[in-house]
Amino acid sequence: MTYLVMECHPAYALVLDERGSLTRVPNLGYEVGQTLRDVVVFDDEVLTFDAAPRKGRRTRLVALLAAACLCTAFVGGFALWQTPIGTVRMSINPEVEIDVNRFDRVVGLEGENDDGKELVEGFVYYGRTVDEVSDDLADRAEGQGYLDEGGRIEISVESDDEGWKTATEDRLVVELEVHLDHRVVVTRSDGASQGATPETPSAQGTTPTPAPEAAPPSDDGDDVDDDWDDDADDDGDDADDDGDGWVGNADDDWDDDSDDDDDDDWADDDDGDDDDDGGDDDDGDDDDD
Amino acid sequence: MRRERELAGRVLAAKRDQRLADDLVRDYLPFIKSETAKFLGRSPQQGRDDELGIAMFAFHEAVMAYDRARGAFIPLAATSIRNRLIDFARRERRHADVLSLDERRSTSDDEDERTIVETIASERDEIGERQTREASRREIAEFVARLSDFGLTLLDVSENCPKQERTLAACQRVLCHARQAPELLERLEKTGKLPVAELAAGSGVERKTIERHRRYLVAALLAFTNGFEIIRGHLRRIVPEGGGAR
Repeated sequence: MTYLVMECHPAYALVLDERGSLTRVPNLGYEVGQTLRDVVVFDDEVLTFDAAPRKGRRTRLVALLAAACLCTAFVGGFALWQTPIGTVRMSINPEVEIDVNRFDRVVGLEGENDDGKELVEGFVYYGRTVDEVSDDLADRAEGQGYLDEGGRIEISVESDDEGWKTATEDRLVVELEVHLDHRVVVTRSDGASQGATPETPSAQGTTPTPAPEAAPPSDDGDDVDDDWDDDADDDGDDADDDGDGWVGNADDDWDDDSDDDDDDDWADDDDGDDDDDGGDDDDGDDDDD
Repeated sequence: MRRERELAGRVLAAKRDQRLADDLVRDYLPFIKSETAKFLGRSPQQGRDDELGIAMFAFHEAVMAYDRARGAFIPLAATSIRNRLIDFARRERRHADVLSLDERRSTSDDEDERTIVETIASERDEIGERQTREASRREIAEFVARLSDFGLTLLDVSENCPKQERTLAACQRVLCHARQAPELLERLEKTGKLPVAELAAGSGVERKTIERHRRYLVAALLAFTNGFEIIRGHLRRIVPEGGGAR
C-alpha cells in the first residue's frame, strides 16, 4: 500500500491511500505530492478519551438514582410526618382533639362538640408544637369566655406509645398550668392533676398553686415527716438534731466535728495524736506542726 | 488561572480552525519537546527524531479531543503525548531488526562516519522523482481548489472518511457505479450536488450510508473527473483494472 501526501501541517499530514481513504497521520517530515510506503497509523482513535460518553451516561444514571432516592426520602419523610403518633384530647368545655406526630408537631385538629368546633374555627395549627397549640387554645377559650378563673382543663392523651403518652401528658399539664399562671386547674382525665409530681397524694391534687415539690433537702414544711429530704432523721420532728443547720442525717459531719467522735477524718483530726500535718486540729493543743 | 482560561479558549478556537491549531502547535513546541524529552531521556531533534513528530500529532489529537468540562488542557496533552509515544515505541519494536538508513556506521578503513544511505549507490531516478512530485503537488493544489468550490477542505473529507471496512466497501461500490455513469459526474460538476437517489439506486447501497458520507463521496467523485490523473492513478484499488476507464 502506498500513500499520497495530500496536505501537510506541523502536527499531521493528510494522506490518501490506494483504496481512497484519506487519513490523518503524524507528519514525519513529509511534503505534499510525496508518495510514502509506510505511515504511522494508530489503531484506536484517541486513547484516553473514548470512555467519555459512558461516563456521561453514568453521571446521568447516578443523578437519576439520587433524584429517586431524594423523592423516596421526601415522600417517606412526609408520610412519617403526617402519621400521628397519638391524640391529645383537651376538654375545657369545648372539646378538641389534637393529632400529634412523632416530632411533637400538630398535624390535625378537630372540635369534638359544637363549642369545640367553634373554638378551632380559623385557628392555624398545622406544623406547630403541641405545647404551643394547647397554650393558644387555652388562651382562645379564655378569650371566648369558656374558661374562667378557677376553671378546669382536662387533658388526656391516647397513644400506642406508652412512654410518649405519659411524657406528653405530664408535659402538657405543667405547660398549661405555667402558661395560665395557675389561674385554672389542669387535670388529667383520670383525675390526677399536676402530673409533675406523681408522688403527691391525689387528695392534694386540687391545690390551685402547686408547690415546687422537687426542692432541695430542707425543712419541707409538711407535718407528716415523710422524709423526702433525709435518710436517718425519722424521729418525728424536723428539728435540727445536731445543731449544724442540716436537717436529718445523724452523721452528717461534712464540715464540723464538734459533737461526734466517729473517725470520719475528712478534714480534721480529733484523735489527739500529732501525726497530722494538715487540716485543722481541734484537740486544743498546739503540738501539730 | 487566567493563563489556563486563555489557553482553554485558544484550544477551543483551534478545534474549529485548523490554521489556529497549527499556530497553537507551533507555540507549544517547547512543551511538546519537553514532554518528548521526558519520554526519550534526551532532547529530541526536529527533523531527525520521529518521536517529536508523533508527539506533535498527539498534541493535536488532544486539541481535537479537548472538552472544557473535563479539566485543564495541559495534563490532557501530556497524557496524550505519552500514550502515543508508547504506542509508537511498541510499533517500532516490531521493526527493531531493520537497520535505519540514517544510522551512522564507522568502518575501520574510513575515518569519517557516514550514514548507510550515503554509502549505497542510488539506483533511483531522483530527477524524475522530483518532477513527478512537482506534478502531483500542482494537481493536489488544483484538487484542493476544486474542493473549496464545494465548500470542503481535505480535513473535512478525512473526518468524513468511512472508518469501518464495511462502510468503505459500500462507498467503493458507489464510486465504481459512478465511474461507469459519467453523466452523474457531470451532474455533480454542474449542480455541485451529489445525486444521492441515482447513486443509491444504481449501486444498491443504502441511501442513509451515502448521505452520511456525502462529503467524502463528493471528494472521491471529484477525483474521478478529468484533470486529476495522478490522484486517480493512485486510487488504483478502488476501480478494478481496466474496468470502464474513462
